[in-house]
Amino acid sequence: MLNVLGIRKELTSLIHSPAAESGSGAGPAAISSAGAAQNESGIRKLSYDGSPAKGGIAPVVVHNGLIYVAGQGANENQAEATLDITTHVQRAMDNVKKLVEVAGGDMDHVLQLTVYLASLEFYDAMNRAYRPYFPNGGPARCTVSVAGIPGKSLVEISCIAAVVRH
Amino acid sequence: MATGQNEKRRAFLANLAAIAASIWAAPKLLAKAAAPQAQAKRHGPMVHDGLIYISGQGANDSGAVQGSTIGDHTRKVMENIKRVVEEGGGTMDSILQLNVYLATLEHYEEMNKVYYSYFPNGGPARCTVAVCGIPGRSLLEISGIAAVVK
Repeated sequence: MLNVLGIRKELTSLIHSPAAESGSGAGPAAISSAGAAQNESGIRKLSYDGSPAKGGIAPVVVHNGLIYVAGQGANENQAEATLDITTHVQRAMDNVKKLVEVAGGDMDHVLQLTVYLASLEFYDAMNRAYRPYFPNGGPARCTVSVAGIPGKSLVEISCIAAVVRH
Repeated sequence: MATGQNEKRRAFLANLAAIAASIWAAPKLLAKAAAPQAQAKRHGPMVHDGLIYISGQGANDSGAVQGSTIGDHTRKVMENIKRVVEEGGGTMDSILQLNVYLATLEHYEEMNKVYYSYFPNGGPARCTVAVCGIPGRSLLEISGIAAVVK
């Protein structure tokens, strides 16, 4: 006995294969000038103080209600390097917090976050330093240790957050 | 009696329709089954809801890279990304976030030189780490998310 419903489902998924979605109807196609790159298509690239970022790496990018935070280490804005995991996590998370807030979000609306550690030995200490940033519960998180992190940092943290204030 | 025959007839016609439909769809099914290699090698964009999800691009993904320096590998990977993003309806300026995985931190500065040249108007949010290994004998792998703008 043929499974008619089963066949119909398979055929529907074959015939309606996913097509490339067009955008949200946002602006013109070509982006030619530096100024235009900031405003067209609703993409904002910001610095730590909220001013437009024009360098090779934007600390934070805002688009369509989502906030993309660049990898934050411990030595981004610091004059001298220290080698304490707690300090490093706090510096990275302070940077994350500053960028999330400057982009119109808050820590309760960080959705997904990735932690890269210089060594798994730092895992417990990292967790202790990390938890206070999310008193109401933290985001979906992924943690791994890696072979190396730029800037002599013991940790690098990046995340995606939601805009809550415009 | 008549009802029984009607039921049988209905069931028979339904089965016939199902067979006809599956014969009609067979070429597509066969094409799908015949091309698993092609699909496995393709690193084209996943596009959904105005966002382009760029799968990890290595230097040897679209054919062996010419040259063995980190500059050569970075250039090849950035060209791959450019192609994928534009295929998905974005531009280099509409890339929101990239993750850079390096075979060694020693390549950081050289990678940056080539990388920055692709963003004369300012680059996306980026996260860079050195990892233990990268598939495909590439010195780096880059993945990320871009916005559809056309």
